[in-house]
Amino acid sequence: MSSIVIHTALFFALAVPIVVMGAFYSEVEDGPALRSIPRRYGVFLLACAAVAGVMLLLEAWFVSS
Amino acid sequence: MVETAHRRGDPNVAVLLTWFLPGSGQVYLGRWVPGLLAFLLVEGLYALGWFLSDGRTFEFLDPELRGAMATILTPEAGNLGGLIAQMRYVGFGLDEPAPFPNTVALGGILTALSGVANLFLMVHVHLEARTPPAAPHAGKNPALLVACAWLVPGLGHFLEGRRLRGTIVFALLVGFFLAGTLMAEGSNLSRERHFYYWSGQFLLGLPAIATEILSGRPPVTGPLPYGDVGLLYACMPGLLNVMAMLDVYGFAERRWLGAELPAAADLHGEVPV
Repeated sequence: MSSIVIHTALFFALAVPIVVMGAFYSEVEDGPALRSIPRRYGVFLLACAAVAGVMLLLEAWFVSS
Repeated sequence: MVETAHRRGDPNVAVLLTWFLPGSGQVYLGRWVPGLLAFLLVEGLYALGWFLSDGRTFEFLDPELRGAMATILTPEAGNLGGLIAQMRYVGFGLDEPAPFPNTVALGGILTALSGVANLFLMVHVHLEARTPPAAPHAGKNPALLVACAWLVPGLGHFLEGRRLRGTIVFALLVGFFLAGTLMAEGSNLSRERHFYYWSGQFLLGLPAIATEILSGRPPVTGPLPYGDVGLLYACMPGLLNVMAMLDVYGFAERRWLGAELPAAADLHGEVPV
């Protein structure tokens, strides 16, 4: 399996505790906190993908010769 | 905020005093014996760590990283007086290369432990300063619960009666730390090798400390294909445990001060009168 696929999968996995702890910090009750995790997880991954996209664009414009 | 007339003292002054000199915040609040005991405990840990490491813990930092702010991201910064004294008298260690004492790693753990213990003391004096002397308390002491949340991730939630949350926190944080340690093949457990990552994972408490001591800090014997990812996996749970500790504190403080539990969105906001 290619390195990029493995590292992406590892990032997806590491995003789980980040999102769960964010949900617990924001919601005092367990029920609403747990129910909000799928939405938060999606938003987090999309936001990270957007940041990665911007970085790749900047690299393509300014770094490549 | 609790009204000024009902406070024992200014909480910010109590915290700043404690930060520079452990126990002095409690003395400022008129509690001499607990203040003296806190001073002996926190500074005793730092002094023992300094003795065992020969004051050379910060020599682990690469020379190009050594500077005035280099130590601010270490656990020792929680005991600012001790850290300043160490930097004043021994700085970043010896100028000439020399073997470290055998107990340097243990000494580093103890000085770090002193800084973390003083953070809990700062939490305690801040709350104590805001609590009217005769006010009734409910629930367990928030500072104690935060210390438990650091010691074993999830334990603070568990002691608050939030067992599902505590179990999830423990499983996620300790699980990812162990996964990271396996991927890094234990290289993350050496403060000498990864000074700042070690500081991050120290916030995970006993699981990180016990793993380091029990593993004997295994040497790196070959390439680590997932070493960098392992470092992240091991360090991130320590940083996330800070969020868990804040969650534990917010919940416990409202019980302690007798405030009604708020709507979820307000939990981490201002404490009502």
